[in-house]
Parts: sequence; structure tokens; C-alpha cells
Amino acid sequence: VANEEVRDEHVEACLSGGGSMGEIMRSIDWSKTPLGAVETWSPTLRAMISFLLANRFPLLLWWGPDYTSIYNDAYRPILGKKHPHALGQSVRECWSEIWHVLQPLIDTPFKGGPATWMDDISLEINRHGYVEETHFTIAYSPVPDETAPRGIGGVLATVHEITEKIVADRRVLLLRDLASRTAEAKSAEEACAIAAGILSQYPKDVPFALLYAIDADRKRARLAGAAGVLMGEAASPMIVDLDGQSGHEQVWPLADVVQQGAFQRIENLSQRLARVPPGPWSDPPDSAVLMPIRSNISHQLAGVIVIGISSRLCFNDAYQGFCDLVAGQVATTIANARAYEEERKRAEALAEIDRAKTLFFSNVSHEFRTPLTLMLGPVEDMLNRAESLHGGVRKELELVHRNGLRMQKLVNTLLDFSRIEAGRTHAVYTPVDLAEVTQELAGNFRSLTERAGLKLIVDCPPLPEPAYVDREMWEKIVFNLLSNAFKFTFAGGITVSVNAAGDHAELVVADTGTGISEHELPLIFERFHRIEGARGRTYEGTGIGLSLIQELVWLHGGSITVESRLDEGTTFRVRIPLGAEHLPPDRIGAARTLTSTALSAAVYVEEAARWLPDDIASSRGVASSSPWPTPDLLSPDPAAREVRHSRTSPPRQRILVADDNSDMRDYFSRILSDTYIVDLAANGEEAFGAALNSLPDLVVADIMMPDADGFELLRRLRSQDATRSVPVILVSARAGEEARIEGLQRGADDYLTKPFSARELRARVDARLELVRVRKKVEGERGRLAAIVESSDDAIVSKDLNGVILSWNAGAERLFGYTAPEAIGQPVTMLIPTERADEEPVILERIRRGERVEHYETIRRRKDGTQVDISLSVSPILDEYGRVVGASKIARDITERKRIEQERRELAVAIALRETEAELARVTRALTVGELSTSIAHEVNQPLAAVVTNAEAGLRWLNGETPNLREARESLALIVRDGNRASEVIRRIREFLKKDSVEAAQLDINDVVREAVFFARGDLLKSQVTLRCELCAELPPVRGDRVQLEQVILNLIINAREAMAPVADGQRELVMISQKFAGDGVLVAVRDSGAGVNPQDIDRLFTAFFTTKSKGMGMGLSISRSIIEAHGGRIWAVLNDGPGLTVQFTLPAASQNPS
Amino acid sequence: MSEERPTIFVVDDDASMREALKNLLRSVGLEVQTFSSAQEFLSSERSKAAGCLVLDVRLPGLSGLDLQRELAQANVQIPIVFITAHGDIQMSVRAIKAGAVEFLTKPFRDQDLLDAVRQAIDRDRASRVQQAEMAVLRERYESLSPREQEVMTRVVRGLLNKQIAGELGISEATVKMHRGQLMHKMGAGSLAGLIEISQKLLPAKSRRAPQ
Repeated sequence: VANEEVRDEHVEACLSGGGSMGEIMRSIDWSKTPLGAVETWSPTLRAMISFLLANRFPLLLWWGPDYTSIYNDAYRPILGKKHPHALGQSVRECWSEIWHVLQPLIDTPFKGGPATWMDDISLEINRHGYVEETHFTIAYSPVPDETAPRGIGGVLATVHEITEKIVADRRVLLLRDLASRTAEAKSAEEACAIAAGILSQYPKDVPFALLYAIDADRKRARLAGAAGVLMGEAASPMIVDLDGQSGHEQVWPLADVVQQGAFQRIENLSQRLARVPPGPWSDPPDSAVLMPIRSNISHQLAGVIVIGISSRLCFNDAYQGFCDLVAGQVATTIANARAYEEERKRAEALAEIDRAKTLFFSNVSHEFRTPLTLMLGPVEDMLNRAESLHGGVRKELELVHRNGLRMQKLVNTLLDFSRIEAGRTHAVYTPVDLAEVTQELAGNFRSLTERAGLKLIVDCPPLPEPAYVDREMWEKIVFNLLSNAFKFTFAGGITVSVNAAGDHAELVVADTGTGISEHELPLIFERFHRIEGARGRTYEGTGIGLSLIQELVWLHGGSITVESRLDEGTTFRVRIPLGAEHLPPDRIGAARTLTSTALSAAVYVEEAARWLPDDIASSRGVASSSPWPTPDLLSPDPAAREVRHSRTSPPRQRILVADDNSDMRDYFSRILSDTYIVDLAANGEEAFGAALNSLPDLVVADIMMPDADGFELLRRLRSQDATRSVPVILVSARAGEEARIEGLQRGADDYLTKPFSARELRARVDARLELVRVRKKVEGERGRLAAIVESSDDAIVSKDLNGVILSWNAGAERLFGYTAPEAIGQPVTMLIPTERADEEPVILERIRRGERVEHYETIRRRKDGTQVDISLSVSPILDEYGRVVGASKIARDITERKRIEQERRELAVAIALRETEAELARVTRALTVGELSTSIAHEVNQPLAAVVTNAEAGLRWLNGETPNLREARESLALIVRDGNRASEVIRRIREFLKKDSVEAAQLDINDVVREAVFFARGDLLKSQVTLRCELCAELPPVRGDRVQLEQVILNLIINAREAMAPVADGQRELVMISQKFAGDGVLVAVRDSGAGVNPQDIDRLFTAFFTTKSKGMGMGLSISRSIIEAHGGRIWAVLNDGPGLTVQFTLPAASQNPS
Repeated sequence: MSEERPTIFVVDDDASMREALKNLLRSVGLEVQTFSSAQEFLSSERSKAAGCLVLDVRLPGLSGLDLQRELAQANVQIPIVFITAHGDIQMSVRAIKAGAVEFLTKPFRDQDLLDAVRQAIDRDRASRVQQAEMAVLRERYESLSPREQEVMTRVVRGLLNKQIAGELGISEATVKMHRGQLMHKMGAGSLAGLIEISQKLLPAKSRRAPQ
């Protein structure tokens, strides 16, 4: 009783309180634990326990060397199901699954080290029946106890579980990434792919995920992204049917999710899938959730996301909420991307409509030009024959002409407009004296304004520097502004001035006309805007004039402004920068590539004159005073206009015209037939026939024709030798620069745009024919030269100093395989093998210095990649000033020569080799005989000994008291036989040694084997080798050299004998085998029971100088191989199943008809 | 002990050599049996007449030296004349040590071979005579009673009758009786004769000098 009381006191002292843990602790009989009865506890332990039990923070005490666990109420949740067994249990058992992690952390403080601390320790623990991902903040500190052996009684663990916080933080991070990084997605697919990429970076929460997008027809779902699993595997089918028609079980019940629009959880994945995507842990996820991805259309899902559930986390509300958020975020992303996509499609559709409109505009303008040409051309011609015209007819013709020109102006304006619209206007800026040019342009209106009673003041003082303008455009600006001013001014005058204003030039066109109302002013530069009810000389107008001018001004980097007051007048100010810095450098002084839309001043003036009352206009005869405006007038070269007159008449040249429009054909014919013979054709097909029929000097062809168009005709003409060089002028209504370039690229000599004037046509035709004449003359000379070059067997190639190929003859094609079109324009380095790449710079350098390179032997590469030996001579090409501008090279194929040289060399080597081999074979044979000397001696000795013995015996038979003549005779017969035998042996040896030429004879291979064995058997006997022969009796004969084959076999026997030397007595066995091989060949094998060789050496055995013997040259097998291979056979070695090696060779059977 | 003509066994793998040897040996009136290998010789029915073995050293399968060893192990005592085409000293030393009569190198002088054979035959004859004597003596010894054998052993060791009686625990008179019996049975006329017989007969261990 007394003891109990004492114990109770202690219990009361240290185990009092402590909530439920205290209760449990009190109920334990501690004497049965490693800690012992409570009354034996050290004061420190008691103090620690009462401190621990009373503490509200999770605390754990590991006491004693076994780390017996004692913990408080707050620590219980951390243990889960491990409570209450954990109490009094060693930590090693309690936390067995993480003991390897904990041990060093606990040991350190317990063994006197510092307290351990970890901010976030990730532990995989099993406390609720499954392994769980957990995170803790821990602090383990030593508890000093004087009574403990080392002064430390245990370790106090302060533990704070932070799993929820860590997991939540991670999920927040994921969602943030998802929100921020998918924003840039441009399509739903991309959005899914990006989302999948992000999800795959968070495998702990999303071990795997599949993003299925639902097709527009709602029948199928397509895999748009996958994380943690490759797309298209069993677990991640690319396509999932949603209509449920397909009978087989779907991996994921997407259809259910789509129908119900609600999430589903799938468990027991391992039963569902042969291979569950593994995830980051050692166990794959066992469940997954399917979340609907909503779209911005109600009740319609954009897709379904499948999310694997971590095998290390409990699928609780937080986890489900997280999955909801992921699905929501993906939905938002997809919706955004879809919206973006649709926006983009709309914009593209609009742009497409715009493009179509512009194209239509451009086409329509071009279409106008063809009939215009047909109208203006004849009219112009008629007017030129002025004297023959009746006055009234002439007037009417002038009317037609004028209106034709006016229409041309409109069409050109439209064309300008459509070019600007399509961004295809290519201004050509040249420096001009703007004041002078403008003064000149304005001057064209002087007589007109004066006739209308208006004053024209032109004030253009010189500018300090030239302005860079496109002349045609500047003309249009000035003429349009002037005719505009004229149109609206009935009294007063028009002032045109150009002044420098800082770094700008300013053109001012001011009138005293009717003015523009204030509310109209902001609109006048708008396209198609016309001022309603404005009072002017005419109502004509398209409403694009000012708009076009504004565009033209902008193309000069300038600006246009207007000031106006009704009834007071209007002032337009155009400001353009001086200098060229503001302009694109490549357009300055560039060649004009577009058909000109320029019109002469007369066109404007004529048109404006029509606005005047008829009496004023006609009485002054304005129209007739100006030359007929044709594009020719703009030609900078007056000589072109003169060609017609300087033409030499005889002989008449032939021109072939192809056009499907009969009016057009007539027009061509009329213009050209007075000078040339004109053949007409209605399409390309017909024209080609005509050309072949009678070769024209020139072909003029419309591009747009039925059957074969102009390009096709051009192609056909160029494809025929006869017509290849006939110049071709293509005619088209399409004025675009692309059309022109295309025509020229396809090999047209010139390109004419409708409308064109008769004069322009004549000029072009004349010039082209003149060129042809000159070219023909030059070509005649060049042709002779070219024929020489072409017919040369050598490759003749020229190149420029950059190594670009300029010409290529037939010889070059033969030598290198490239045709001329393939080679010309290519770098010559394409012929040079990479390893010789440094030759070309050296050659080029010498050529630049004007040196020649002669008969340089090198290697070049053909088109097919093969190499060719060539001899190369390269000479510089000089221009007329003696400068080196390129190089011509003559390459000769020296492959054949090289081959012959090589063959000679090889032959010499082969002969030497053969001699060496024969010598070697003889030496080896001698060595073989040496090896076998005792054996051979034995073979000689044996019969000799017999001879001597028989002779002695014979003597004795004779010397007896009664000589036995019969026995004596018998003895003599034996002597003769043995003597012969001895000499036969000697003969064979001599033959074996002497032999040096190869003699092929029909042989029974078994005889050869036996002969070899005969030489060797004494040797084998001496070495205590048992010999066995398994020779097949029915072998076909072989053809070969007996001695050589014997040598091979002997060699194999000697090798075998040597290989067996280390083997114990009684176990040396040599088997000689002959048998049929592969149908009609024979195989001879020599099998020993020796030491064998290393398997890796087996193939090297037959290599010269390879030997496994301690002495030996390593030549024997090498020579054997060359002998056998020379006999058409093969020799190789195989390791036996048992000990030893078999070396065998095959020989083909002798053919039935030995040659 | 027959007076048959001695037989010479020739073992040589070379047919010429076999024939030549047979010819030579026959020419001096010897019976000859030839064998082409050691195995053939071992498995053959051989005549019991005195003779010798003319043996080629180098033979396929069992070599001549191997055969010599085999015969010794089987306690077949037949003198051997070795012949070889190319003997070396080591080999001949081995052969002679193992009891060969002669070691001849081919080609040999016929007289040398014949001498060697003659010597071998003589040796065989002598050994056969000796073996016959021994058989008689052994038979006689076997006819002694155990007690007589015990007494003989001690007599030969030179013990006196009194001493023998003491050792065997019998009376001197009985010793004397046994002694007389055994002298008679062994055919020994004197003590010296008995000692001579016992030396021929007794195994080495019982022949240890009395000391």
C-alpha cells in the first residue's frame, strides 16, 4: 500500500493534467516499457512530460536511446491512426516509413550535436491507411539530463504540419500560371496545349491531365492537350465518340459528362487502364475526375478535362475545388482564344473583300484601255492625214479624239487610284528645280485662262536647293489644282507660286473663284466626295481628283491644306520637304517599272477648254495648236520618234502578228503593212504554225488569246531552234509592272501596253528589228565561235570574278552532267569537292592578277556527286579596257588517263605482290618442311632401316649352311620395294619444296589430305597426337594446285599440333574431315582438341602477322587464306563445342567442262 | 619349363619395318610374331615360350614406353629390346631404367639387334628358371604347418631352439621336432641351405636382419 501511494504521488506530480493524453499516460503501466516504472524516471523526464502534456503546441518527446515516443494532445492529429499505439513506442517503429529521413535529424541532437531545424520537410507518411504527401516544419532539440549516460536524455520535437498550406500555395501558383500564361493563346488548340504544358509542371496536384475539345458537331471530342502522359496512348485516346454509338467501352466516360454537364469521379484506374499514367510518386493515381469545360454558349461545353488525382493526397473539398478552378480557368482561356480567333477571321474577311475590290478596280481600268487604244489610234492616224479630210469630218474626229483622251485621263486616274489603294505605286524621285518645272507646267494654262478673261500669275523665284519629286506626280498635282481652280473661277485670276518655307517648298494655287462652304471644307479631300450644288464651269467630276492629289503629296512626304471662303476664292497649299532624306533611298532615281499614266498638259487644257463656251474655244483654235498627245511625247529619247524616217527600206522584213481581236489585227496590219510584210494569226497555235511555215523577223503577240496564249507562243518559239532567236514583242492590256516583268522574264524582247499609239508601235518594232539585224551580224561571228566552243570535247566554261558561271558548253554538260540552264548563274564552287574548296580562291586570285592557270590537274564533282579527274586551264577574260572581268576555263576529263596510269601502277604492284606471295609461299613451305623435319626423316628412315635389315637378312639366308634362295629372293624383293618407297618420299619432298609455279589440275581432295597426313604423321606421333580421318568417299573433284593445297592442310595440321601441345598426354586428338559442302563444293576441316583461341581473335587468325603462338611469324594462316581464296574457296575457324578449334576451308567443285 | 623355340614379338607400326625385322629374325631361326600396335599386342594370344619383345618406341595410340609400363604393372616379365627411328637420350634412359634390355636406333646393325635379342632371350630363360625354382620353394613353404612356419622364421633369424621355445611358449623338444620336420619339407640339408632358401623365398620385411 505504501508503494502504491508513492507511485500515485509521482503520477500525480508529472502525469497530472494533459487532457486525454494525460489520461492515457496515466493508464499505462510504464514499468513494462523501456522507460521503466514512473518512479524510476529521472527528474528531467518528469519535468519534460508535465511540460509537454500541458503544452498546446504539437510536441513530441523521444526519450532514451530507443527514442520512446511521448506526445501531447496537439500532436495527435499528426499521428492519425498511429495513435494511440505510438505512445511509448520507439520512433523507429512508429515512423518506420520515414525512419531513414528522421534518424539523422534525431541522432544529431541526441548525440550532442546541434538542434535540428527544417522549414519544410516533405515526408511520405502512412497515417490514414494510405501513403500521403505531407509537409512539416520541425525543430528537434536535445533534452539535457544529468542521469543519462551522455548527459542527454532525449530529443524534444516541436512539429507543425504545413501540408495544407504548401499544397494550397502550389495550387494557387498553378492557377496563376494558367491565368497569366494562356492569355497569349491565339486559338483554342494553342490554349489547350499551353494549359497542358503548365499542368504538366505541377505533377503533385495534377499527376496527369487530358484536355478534350468537343467538335463543332458535338459528336466527338478531340484530345487537344495532355500533361503527364503522351497523347494517343491507351489512356489518352486522340478521339472519343460522344454519341455513344460505338459499342466498345470508352476509356473515359466523356459522353456522360457532356450530357449531364457535371463532374464525375472515376476510381480504380488500375482496373480500367492497363497502364495508368504514373505521376510523380511511386504509386500511380488511383482515381481521376472529369470536369466539364464550359463555353460562353450556355449549356454547351467547350470540352472536358480529365485530371488524375494524386495518390498521395486525399480527394477532399479543397482538391475538388481546385479541380473546378482549373477547369474554369481552362474554359476562360479557350473562350478568350476562340473570341480572338473569330475576331481575326472577321478582320481577314474584311481585308479580303477590300483586296477583291481593289483588284476589280484595277482590272476594270485595264479593260478600258484596250478599246481606248483601238479608238484613239485610228483617229489619230486619220487626223494626221489632215489634208485629205473634209472639214466637218475632221471636226467630228477631233471630238472623238478629245473625248477619247478625256476618257484615257479618267481611266489613268482610276488606275493611279487603284495602284495607291493596292500599295503598288512606285514613285521615282528625281531632283528637279521645282520652281522652274512648276512655272513651265503652269504656263500651259496661260492661253486658256486668258481666253476665259482670267489673269494667271505665276510667281516662282528660284529655290535654294532642288526638290526630289516624281515628275509625273508633280505634273498631276499642278495640273489638277490648276484645272480645278479654272473650273470654279469666273472672274479675277489664278495665282501659282512656289516658295521656300524653311526646309520645305510650298506650292500655292490661289483663285478668286466661288469658294467652298465652311462645312464642306473638311470633306473635300475625301475620296468620292463631291460638293453638291457647287457653282462651276462644269458638273463633270468623279470626286477622286483631290483625293488622289492628297495621296500623291503624301507620297512625297508632304501635306496639302486648303483655305476657302464662299464667293471669295480658294487657296490650296502643298508643302513638300526639300532634299531626299525623307524618301526611301531605293526609289530615288529608280527605273520606272509601271506603265506611265501621265497625260500631257494638253489633255488637261483641252478638257478645260471644253468648259468654255464653244465660240471662245473654237475661235482661238486651241485644240489644233497642240500636237497630238501620245505617250510618245513623254519619251525622253527623240531618236525613237525618228526611227521611222531613218528606216532603210529594202529588203522587206516579215512581221507575224498574233491577236484574237480582229479589230486589233486590222489595226496592226494598217500600221505596219506599208513597211513590212505582215502575217496575221488569231491565236498562238495558228501563229506558231505560221512562224514555222515562214520564219518571221519579228513576232508581235497579244498575251491574252484563246488556245495558246502569248506566253505559250513565246515558249514554243523559244523551244524550236529555227524560231528561238526571233524577237517577240508581247502586247497586253495589263499595265501592271508584274505583267511586264513576267513577260520579260519569260524571254520576251519587249513589252507593249495597251493603249499604245501607232507611232509607239512603229518605233518599238523598228528598233527591235534594227537590233535583230545588228544582232544577227554579231551572232554570225559569235555563232562560228560558239560552234567551235560547243563542238569542243573539252568543257569550256566562263565565270565572273565572283566565280558565278556565265557560259557552259555541251562539253561541260557532258563532263559535269549539269545542263547549261542548270549551271549558268550558279557558283562554280558547286563543281568543287568540299575538300578542295580552297582551290577556287587561289585560282580566282591568280586570275585577278591576270595570270593564267594551265594544265592544273585536280578533281571536280559531277551533278550526280561522282568525282572526275580533270586537267584545268583557266585564263582571264578582259574587257575593252583590259580589266579582268572574268575567267574562261577549259577542263578536260583525264579520268581515263588517270585510270590507265592507275591500272599500270596496280598491275605493277600486283605482279610484285604475286611474286612476293609466291616467294613467301615457298619460304613458308620450307618452314613447314623444317617443322616436319623429324617427321619426314622418320618417313625416310623407316624404309631405309627396312632395306638395311632386309639386306642383312638376305645375306644370312644366303650364308646359311644350305643357302635359302627363296627367302633370299624374298628379301631382295622387299629391299627393292622399300628402296622405292624411300625415294618416293624424297621425291615428294623435293616436289613440295621446289615448286613455285601454280598448276591447276583436277584433284581428289582426299588424296591431298592423305598426302599431307603422310608428311605429318611422324610429327603427330612424336607429339602423341591421335589422328583420325573421316574422309567422305564420294566427293566431287576439285580444281587446284596440289602442292598449294597440301601446304594449306599441312599448315593447319602443324597449327593444330602446336595448339594441342599444352594439353595432357592422351587427350590430343586430331580429326581430318572431308565432306560435301553447299551442294557441289567440298569442305576440309582440321579439328583439334587443343587450347582453342579467344573468341575475339577468331577472325584475326587469318590476318598477316597475327599469331597466338609464342614463336611463329603469323604468316601461315594468312598465306593459307590467300591460297584458298585464289582457289575460289573460303577458310575460317570455329571453336569446337568441346575443347579445341576447327579450321576449315571450302573449295568449289571442278566445273564439268574444265577450261 | 619347355624346350620350345623362343618366340620374338615384334611391335612396329611400319609394315616394312615389321616385315624386315621378321625376315631378319627368321633368318637366324627365331619364331617371330608381329603386331602393328601396342593394343594389338596386349590383346593377342601369345605363345608361352621364352622370348622377347622388339618394340618400336613410337607407336600410334599407346607408345612403346607406355606398353613397357603397362606390362610392368601387369607383372608380365618379358625382356624388351627397343628400336626407334630417332631416339633421344632421355627416352633411352627412361626405357633402360624401366628394365629394357637394349635401345637401338634405326637403322641398326643387324648383329646388334640379334645380340640384343639373344641376350633378352637368355635373360628370359634365366628368369623363367628362377621363377620355376621359386614356385617349387613357395609350394614347399606352403606345405609347412603354421607352427613350422613360425619356427622356420625364427630359425632363419638365428635363434637357438631354447630361445624359440621361450618365444613361442613351447618346449624345446617340440621346437626340435618342428625344426626337423621343416628342414625336411623345405628340402634343406643344412641350416645354411635353409637360410639360402628363405632368402629367395621370403618377402623383404621378414628377411630383416636379426638384430
